[in-house]
This record gives sequence, C-alpha cells and structure tokens, in this order.
Amino acid sequence: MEAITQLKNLIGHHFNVKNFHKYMINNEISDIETLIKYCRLDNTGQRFNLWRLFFNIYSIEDTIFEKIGKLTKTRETYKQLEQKYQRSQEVSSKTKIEDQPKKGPLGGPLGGPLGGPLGGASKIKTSTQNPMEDAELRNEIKKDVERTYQENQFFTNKKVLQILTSILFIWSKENSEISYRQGMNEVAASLIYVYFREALYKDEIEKILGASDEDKQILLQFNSWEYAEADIYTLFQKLMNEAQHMEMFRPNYTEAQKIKLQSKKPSAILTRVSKIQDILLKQVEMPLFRHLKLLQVEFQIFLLKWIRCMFTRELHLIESFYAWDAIFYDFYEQKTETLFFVDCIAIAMILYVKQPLMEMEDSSQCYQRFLKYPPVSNLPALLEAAINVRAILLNQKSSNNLDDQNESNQPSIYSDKQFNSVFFAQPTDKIEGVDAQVVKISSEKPQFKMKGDEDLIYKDDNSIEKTNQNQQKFFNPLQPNKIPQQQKSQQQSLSIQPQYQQQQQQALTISQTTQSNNQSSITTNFFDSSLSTTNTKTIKTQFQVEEQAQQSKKDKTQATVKNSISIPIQQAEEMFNTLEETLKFMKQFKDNSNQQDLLMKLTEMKDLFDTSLNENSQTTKQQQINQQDDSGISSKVVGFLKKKW
Amino acid sequence: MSRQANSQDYDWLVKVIVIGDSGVGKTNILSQFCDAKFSITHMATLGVDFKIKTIDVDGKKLKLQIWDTAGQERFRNITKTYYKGAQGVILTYSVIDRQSFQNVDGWLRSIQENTNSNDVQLVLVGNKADMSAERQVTMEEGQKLSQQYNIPFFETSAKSNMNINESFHNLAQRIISTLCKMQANDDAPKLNLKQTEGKEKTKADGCC
Repeated sequence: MEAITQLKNLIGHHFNVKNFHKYMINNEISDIETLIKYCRLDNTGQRFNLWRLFFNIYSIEDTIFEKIGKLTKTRETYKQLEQKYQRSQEVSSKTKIEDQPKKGPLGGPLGGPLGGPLGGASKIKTSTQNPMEDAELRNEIKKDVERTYQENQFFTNKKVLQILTSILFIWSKENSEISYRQGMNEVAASLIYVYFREALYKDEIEKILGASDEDKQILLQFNSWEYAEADIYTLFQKLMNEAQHMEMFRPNYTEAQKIKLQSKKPSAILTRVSKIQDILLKQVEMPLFRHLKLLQVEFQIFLLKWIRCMFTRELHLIESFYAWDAIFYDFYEQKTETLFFVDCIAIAMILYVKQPLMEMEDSSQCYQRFLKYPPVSNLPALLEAAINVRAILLNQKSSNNLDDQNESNQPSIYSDKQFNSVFFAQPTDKIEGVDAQVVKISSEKPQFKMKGDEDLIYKDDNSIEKTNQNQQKFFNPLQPNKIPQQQKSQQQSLSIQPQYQQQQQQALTISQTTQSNNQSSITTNFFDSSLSTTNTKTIKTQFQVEEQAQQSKKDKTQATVKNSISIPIQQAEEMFNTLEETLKFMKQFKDNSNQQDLLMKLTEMKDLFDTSLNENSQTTKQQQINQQDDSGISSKVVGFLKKKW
Repeated sequence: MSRQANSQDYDWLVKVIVIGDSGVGKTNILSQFCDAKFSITHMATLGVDFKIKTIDVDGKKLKLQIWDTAGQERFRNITKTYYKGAQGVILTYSVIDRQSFQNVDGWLRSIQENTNSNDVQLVLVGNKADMSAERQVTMEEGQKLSQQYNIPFFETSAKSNMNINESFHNLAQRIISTLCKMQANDDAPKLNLKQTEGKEKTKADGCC
C-alpha cells in the first residue's frame, strides 16, 4: 500500500468516475474524436479504458458486464502465461500480484460471449524451456529496463520495474521468433504509465462519494491496481500482435537464419520505411522528396526510431500519448491492419522541418535535424497536418481500389456506422463535447476544417504563390507562433504544390460525396499514375511534351522518338527504352545543376511509363472509365508539364 | 548549423562508427568525447544516432562525424547503411561484461563483411575500466586480443574520461595517414571522402 501511495504521489490521480459512466457504461463516445484532435483525451481520465476499446479488448456494443467478463478472461489468460513461465523466474515472486478470487455477480455468467481476445488457452502449449536462453533473455531485458526513463522517478519504482520486466519477458517468450528488441521497453513503459495514472485502489474507491456498492464493485473489476500487470500485458499484446506493431521489430534475418527460424517474413520496417520515403512522401510533397533523394538521405536512419517507439523520443513522453491517442483511434475507426496513422504523423513531422531541410546541402545535416528533432510546440497542429496527409493518402488508395468499391459498395465493417471515409476529415459544424474551457486554448489552437469551408479547396492557379507562403509559415518550426490563426484558413492545409492541392481537393470531394461521384475524382486526379497511365492519350501527350523539351532544351537526344504516336501501348515500350537511353546519356552531364532537376523529372517520367507498361495489359475496365475523361486529363497533363518546363 | 561556418571549418570530413554490444557504454564514450558529459541514465540507443566533433591532428582540422549505434542492431536492419563509407571504427566492449568481450570476434567479422576493411582503421576499447570491483576481463586479455588482430588497444572509462580522447586521436591520426597515402596515389576514385578545398558539399559522405 505504501508503494501505491508513493506512486500516486508521483503521477497523480486521473481517474474520472463521470467519464467512466459516459464512455464505459453508457458507451457514448461521440466526443472523443474531437478531444483527440485537440489533444484533450487525457482530461477524460479514461485514456487506458478507451485504448482498450480501440484495440478491441471489449467493444462499444458490450454492456459493462460483458466488458468485465472479457477483462476477466484476459486476466485468466495472463495468469496461465505467468504460471507457464514461472519456473524460469529467477526473481522470487514476492512482488507478484496475488490472485483475486473472482466472486460476486460481476465475474460470473453475465460475461456474455467471451471470445477470448488473447486467442484463449490454445496458445498455451508445453514450452520447451532452455534455462540458459531464458537467463540470457532476462539479462538482456534487465539491462534495458534499468535504463528506461530512469530520469523519471516513476520508472525507478520497484513495482514498475518488475511489471515492465515481466511483461517483456512473457511477451518475448510467447513471440520467440522476434523475441525482445530494444524499443519494446519504451512502448511497454508508456502503457504502464498511462495505466497507473488512472488505476484505482480499494481504499480510494471506498471514498468515492455518491457511488453505490454496485458501482464500486464495477470499478474494482475494471480499473483496479490489482490487475495492473495483466491488463497492461493484454494491451501490450494487442498493440504488438493485433496491430502488428511487432513487425516493426522483426530483425532483418539472413536467409540462413530465416530457414532456421522457419520464418519467411521480410523485415517489415524496411518495407515500411521505403514506402514512406518513396511513395507516401512523394505523393504528398514532391519538392522535398526530390531534395532528400538527391542528397541521398536514407530515411531508415531516423524512421526506425520514430516508428518503433511511436514518437516518444521526438515528442515529450507525455505529449507522445496524444499522438498515440490519434494513432490508436485511427486504428479503431478505420479498421486498418496496421497503425497507419504512424506513417501520417511521420510524414507530417518531416514536413514540419521542411524549410530547414530544403536549405541543407548534405545528408548528414538532414540526419542531424531528424535525429535531434526540434521541440514541437503545437501538437494539435501537427496532428492536424497528419490528418491532412492521411486524407491525401487515403484518397490515393481509394482511387486505386475504385473497381472494388464500385462492386461491393461499402465494406461491411461500416454497415452499422455512419460512413466516415477520412479520419477526422468529416467536418463538424460545432465542436461537440468540448467545453468552453477547452476551446480557450485558442492561442495555440490550429485551424480545423469546417463544413462548407470552401477555402480549403484549391481553385485558382494564381493563388499558388500565396499558398506557398502561407504554407511555409505554417510549417516553420522555428517560428511556431506565427502559425496563422483564423482568417485565410484557405491554404492552411498542407498544400504546397499544384498536384498536391488537386489531390486534396479530391480527398474532400470523396469524403463529402461518399462514393457516389467517382467520376469527378478521376478527372481531377491525373497524377495518380495507376489511373492516368492507362490512358493512351496521356502517354502521347507526355511524350510529345517531353520530346519538345528535349529538343529545345538539350538537343542531345538521339532522334529515335517518332513524332507520330497514334499507336498505343505496344510501342510505348520502345519509347520507354529510348527514354532510358536518354536518361543514361543525361547522367553523364550530372555536374550541371540544371541537369539534375531535369534528370529528376525524367526519372519520374520513366517511373510513370514503367507503371503504365506493367498495368496496361491488365486493366481494361479503368480504361473505359478514363476515356470518358480523356480531354480533362490530357489538358491537365499538358498544363502540368508546361508549368514544369 | 550554417553552411558558411561549415565550409571553412575543416580540412577533412571523416566518418567514424562506434560499435559493440548493448550496454558497454558506446553512447557515453561519445558524449564524453563530444560534449564532456556522462550520464548513467542514458536510454538504450535505438537505430542510430550521431554526433560531430572537429579535432586538430597534426595541424589539420579533422571533422569527425561519429555514428553511434544500438548494440542490438548487429546483423540487423540498419547494418549496411551504417557501415557504408566508414573510415574509422571504435570497437567497444565492457571490462565488466565478459560476454561483450567474447563478442568482439563477431563484431570484427561484421566489419569485414560490411566494409572494405583495408581502408578502415580500427581501435579496440575496453570501457568501464573504473569499475574495478566488477571487472570480468583483465587488461592482459584485452591486450592479447588486440595484438592478435593487430589493432591499437585502450582501456577507457567514459565516466572518468580516461583514454577517451586518446582513443579517438589515435584513430584520427591513422585515418589521416591513410588518406594522405591515398591522395598520393591519386587514383582512388572509390574513396568515400573528398578533401574539401573550401567546398563543403561532399555528397557521398554519410551513408550510401
């Protein structure tokens, strides 16, 4: 008990009974989206309980008793795991949590369908334990646990250290293919911290005024200190296994190691890193993408850390939980397979330091910027940026899956919910659930999109420059106070480039019209290669323009590209070869600074053709759709290229 | 940092990496050398980190770009990028951790696999030498191993700042003499380093 009091003093008491009723008993969670957006979820005193909801430890349809039933089940599962590995415990079990007899009406048959979210007892098989290996693993974990946030007194507490060690050990044994990897300690430590801020102990519950005996019983079953270790483990396990965060820790095994471990999986983190760099960032911010590519900046140098710890090191530990709120909520709301919002935040963070990056001239300067990330003074603005990034990327995805969506209409997971195609992007007229006090944080409050806020939509070519200026202000971390407040919310979204804005416009279109109006989205989205490249006219136009450019600007190109390109895809391959030759040729003149830009553009084009060649043989349906919009797309392509050249 | 300051600040830019098992004190060696700081509460390094320090060697200004890595990253995701272009390696073990001493062989192999080992200068460092009560590896053992591989050897203490500067300077000196030799050869096109000559941009430095 003394230990508990000590811990309480360190992190305070944050449980909120009123909100417990609201979210856990009445299942009224309509305001949490707004709270997350404004970085206010902490105030609910129900963060851990909500995280459990986000990871489907219980569902929003469950009654409070069903929830308790599910929790009880996970605690039993954990108890079994604990016993399974107890033999190898070198530490005495003095500190271990005593089993609580589950009595009363709450743990009983009221539990409802108890489809054990942990996968039930089937996972528990007779383990082949190697004492040497276990000791090594324990030692490795111990080394890191003893240096996990040790500057924070909370994490020096014995009880906390013991829970952290046990959770990591048991999880690593259960997932021996990956086992313990550095960074997991920080993820687990964060969960412990969040749990303890809202945990209740018996005496505390007794003192709650106006709570009936039944209420007290419920609270004891739900947020009791007694269940800390089991409950934290369960959430950690969900995060690692269900949301596949464990893949971010999978070592890059050699082929031989893979055979030995009977694993075929590639290192998911490297795949993800290159996706962020080469696909996502390219979609969102072409100039920065190019710049970093030319400097040969390798994103894995910093993204490994960002992704694995989900920004606990870049943001302040406490602040990073606000990012986690958004990440987990997105996972819950969008039913994504992985924590996709992590990618969005990573991109937003890269954009946040865009200005200094653009001025840097070698990769090591960039690494320094990324590895020593500047303090983020306006987290809601960063999240907002990430939300916008998400809207763009999601839109890309939905365009690619056009056919599927047309056929199956809506995914069934949305059947009993209001369709919400873009995370947070569904504008709300009023800020629900945020009281006046919360709204008062306006000094740092970012501008959020409101319904009918047409300003967000890019309309006028002439406004591009203005857009860019605003944009730079918005993302200048060195002058965080200069973030535009109210007026000219116009270009507050991420817009930086024309094609970018068009994408965003499209994102809004889709989110507002749901799916009824896919045609219009195609017309605007010329930049989506998978769609536009099936269009012969597009290819033709691009070749013509490119050819002109080459002749007028360089005159170095061999004259193999023919002027008459009435022929479609079959000959595109030939042209593609020519383009490749040209590229090679150009590379010899790399030293000329103008050439680099040209090179970059040609590389882009090459990629475009590459995709087109691959996809052309497969798609016919899309072609039909596209042909209706031929003129729209090709004129845009011409416009785009003219601008560029 | 500003470009202008950079451009005339140094004669050579050199990439050095610090490797060794988890928990041997790599990060502290680095922060002692670069910032004269020591902390017992360093979190485990994740992925990589790096620091920059410019030192004087034989009248030349040598800008060291020192990469710190997670001990756990050996043979893993980041290896290739990390080793690429490295001209110096501080190979670290802890004198109070026998296992880390035994793993020196593995680290050496990893250097061979990932670098052109002829161009790379090494120094072997036995850290935490101040903790005599817990010592598990004697100085003689360290010396013996270093002679076996023909690498300079120092016992260091990041905590008491013992031999930290010496280790880096030893490494830096040998890197410079290698560089001078190579420059004399004049045809070392693959060398991942350029004399700066007032021009700061060395595109190939860092990684890849």
